[in-house]
Amino acid sequence: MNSNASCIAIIEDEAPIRRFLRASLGAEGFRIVEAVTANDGLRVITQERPDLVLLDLGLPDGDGVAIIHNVRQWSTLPIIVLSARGDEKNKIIALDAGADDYLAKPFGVGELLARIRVALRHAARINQDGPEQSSFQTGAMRVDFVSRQVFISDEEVKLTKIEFDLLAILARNAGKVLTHRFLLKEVWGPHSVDEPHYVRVFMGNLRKKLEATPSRPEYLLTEQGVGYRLKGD
Amino acid sequence: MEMSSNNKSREVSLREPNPRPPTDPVCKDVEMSLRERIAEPAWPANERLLVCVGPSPTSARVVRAAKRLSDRIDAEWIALHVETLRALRMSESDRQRLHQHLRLAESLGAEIIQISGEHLATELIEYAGSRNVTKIVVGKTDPHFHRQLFGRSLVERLVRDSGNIDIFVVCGVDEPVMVEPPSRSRRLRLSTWLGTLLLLGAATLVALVFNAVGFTEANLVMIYLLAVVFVAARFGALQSAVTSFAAVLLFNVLFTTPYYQVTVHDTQYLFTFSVMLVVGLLASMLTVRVRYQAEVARRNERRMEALYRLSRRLIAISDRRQLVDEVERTVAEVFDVHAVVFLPDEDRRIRPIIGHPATFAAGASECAAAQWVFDHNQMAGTGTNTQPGTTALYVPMATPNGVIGVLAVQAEGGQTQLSPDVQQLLDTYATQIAFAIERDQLARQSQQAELQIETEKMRSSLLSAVSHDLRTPLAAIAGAGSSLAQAFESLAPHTRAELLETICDESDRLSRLVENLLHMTRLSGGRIDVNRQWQPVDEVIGSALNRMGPQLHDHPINIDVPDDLPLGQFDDVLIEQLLVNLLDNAVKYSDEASPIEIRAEPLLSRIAIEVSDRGRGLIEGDQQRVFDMFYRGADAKPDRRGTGLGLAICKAIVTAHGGTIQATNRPGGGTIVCFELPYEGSPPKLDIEEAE
Repeated sequence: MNSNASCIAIIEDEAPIRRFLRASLGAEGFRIVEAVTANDGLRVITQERPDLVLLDLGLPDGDGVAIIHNVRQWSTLPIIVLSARGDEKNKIIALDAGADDYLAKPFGVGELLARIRVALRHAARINQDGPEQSSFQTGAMRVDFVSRQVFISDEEVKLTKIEFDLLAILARNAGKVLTHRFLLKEVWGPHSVDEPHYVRVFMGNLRKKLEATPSRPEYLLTEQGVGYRLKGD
Repeated sequence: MEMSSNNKSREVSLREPNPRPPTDPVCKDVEMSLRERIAEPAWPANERLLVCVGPSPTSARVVRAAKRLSDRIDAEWIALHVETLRALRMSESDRQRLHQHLRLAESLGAEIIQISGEHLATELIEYAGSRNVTKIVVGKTDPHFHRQLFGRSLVERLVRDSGNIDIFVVCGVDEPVMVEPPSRSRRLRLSTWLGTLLLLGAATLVALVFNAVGFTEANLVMIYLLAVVFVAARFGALQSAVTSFAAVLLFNVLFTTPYYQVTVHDTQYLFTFSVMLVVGLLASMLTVRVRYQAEVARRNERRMEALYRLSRRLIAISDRRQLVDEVERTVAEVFDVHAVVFLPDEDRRIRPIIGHPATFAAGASECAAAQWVFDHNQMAGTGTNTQPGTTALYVPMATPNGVIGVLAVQAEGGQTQLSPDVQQLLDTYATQIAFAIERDQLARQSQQAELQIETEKMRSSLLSAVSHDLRTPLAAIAGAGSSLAQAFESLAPHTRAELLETICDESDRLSRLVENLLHMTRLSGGRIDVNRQWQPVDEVIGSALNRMGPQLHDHPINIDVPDDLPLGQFDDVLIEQLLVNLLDNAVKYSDEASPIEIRAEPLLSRIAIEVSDRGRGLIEGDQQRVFDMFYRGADAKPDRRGTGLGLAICKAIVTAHGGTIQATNRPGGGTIVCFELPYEGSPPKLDIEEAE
């Protein structure tokens, strides 16, 4: 195994799930460390210093969210939570507590790998002390953060200030899910956190302006009940 | 129809300053008092009207006039027929006419009552008193035209004896006109004395005649005796005593020697006198007693009639609060008491009732008495042997199944005790009320039991449907998995790929089934949290399409959502599931590559969303049934299985949002499912800023 390979910590109490995660992630070249309980998980994180954590929210001996709070006090290491489908409330709590993304069980390996790649890429960018990202490109969309312009197939699309702010933050976190609350706070400020429809309406505007078929978006994806995600690569 | 034309042509305002002059002398007097009364303020509330109905043809007119009056003053009205001795001997045609009149009154909205009694006027007033009647309407034609000796008409009698009740007389021209009662007591006394005098005079005259004819003294005494008895029966004890005295005097003066002088020669006359006196007293006492008993019988009849009415009313009431209120009201009215119904709570304890109009219900000692009665199924309280110190009488309400509650009555106006026969009657009432309350309890229990049975039935059909649909994909996965496990090396690569694909696909199917089942359990539990928020419709359509993903295969999707569609108010997770279910159906029941359309349209305070396909469409008549649980289209593709829960879940979601959903056949082939989501108010305003 390549010792430069990224290390992923799996904190999950169900053995079959650990088995297939181990198998598929191992095949992708990741180094795996495992923990079965929350306490074990904290120990593994502090000792092994993984590059990414896969955390199951339904651990028997503890609250996954508590682990997130704990880790976030001293590290920005990416955390992806594994949750049950339909459990939107807990997903939002985890994301607002500092998790980077989520996966709803049952999930496929393809989705998992995509999210892991996005999370690692973001982490790398944050950790580098290099210049800030000046532009972002995905498919036919190109966002220029410096000049505050967006181009679809090289044609500029006019956006209002707030629309661009919204798009920018999604682009800087491309591939990651951002909750309504997070977007409200970042774009409108902390005093607007109780008006989720603001985000929805402006996202609707963005979709109308940027998407070929607004009702079937290609880039600006909706995570129902949780928030939005700009499609990464 | 006949009635309405009558109403229209004869509608005259009661407040007319100059009513049409009546043609009748009685009414002329009355007209004067009416003019004085015009200045009176409006009729008070809580009026109740009583109209006397008889076989005479004018009764129909009287009934209609009473109806008009009751409409005008917004009062309940009662049509009463008093069956006197005379009425029992009515001719057939009279009887039929009477029934017609009663039916007419009933059809106009009156309560029909028939009672029996001796004197029409007395019975009328009695009954009116017992029902808190405020106005009586009668016709001027007295149905009993055979008059008593003293020629007083029904109207005058009513007017004299009615006390606080207004008397309305329907004159020739149909307008009930009110009659002023003259001052009462003086006339009463005066008339009895006048009557006494007259009777005495008549008796004397007769005696004189007989004397002239040659009757013996004994027979003359008989005549006077007759007079005394008559006076006692009609006018009272005092009058009869005076008559006795006067009779003896007269007899002495006129018929014994020495004539025209008051002398008592024969001590026998003393004997005659005392006998007459005693007879007079006895006669009056007897009459009083008979009257009293008749009175009691009448009162009991009325109370039983009230009980019968109460029972009938109670059968129609199914709300327990209303039941209790109705009972308390009726008992208070019939017995002239304060009435409270005590019902136990779950641990069979009687608690004080705070805030009841009958204030004694809040007292702790009263409550203790009620508890004792409840526990021992025996009457207690004032007037009984148990706990006579309390201020009310406590009657247990019991059925053969046990004691349901306690009826407490407190006599009004200082009279603290209720007589034994009233206690008896209250007991009867209490039993009836207990039956009514028990019936209500049993009805509710039976409803709950039915609900439980329904839930059980649903659970078992769910179980049987689910076990099949769960086992099938599991079987496929188990089979494919074990084949790969056992024979991996010997399987060709494309076979391996197929088996693996099977495992993935069947897992997907299983996953969706579990999803649906979870939704269904949550929704049929009834306690769904519908998190309604303002959001754009196109967003939830987009995410539903995204979730369907590869399942949409090559079906082209046409989306028709207007740009200016207002925000909807709904739970995004639930509506996304709804759309996924509809899209799943569209894929299941239509051919590959056939187009699927999604449309949205704004309507008045709701948004309509429609999903349509070009598949086989619905079987005629199934438009409603498709939303039933476990319904599956008869011609579903055999390899596209499903529990038939999809549309049932859609309907439950839409209903939870207060909307409607329906499925119709698309003209040109295919199915359209359309649902409407209502919204309240308008979305909160946003701060719109300028474009850069």
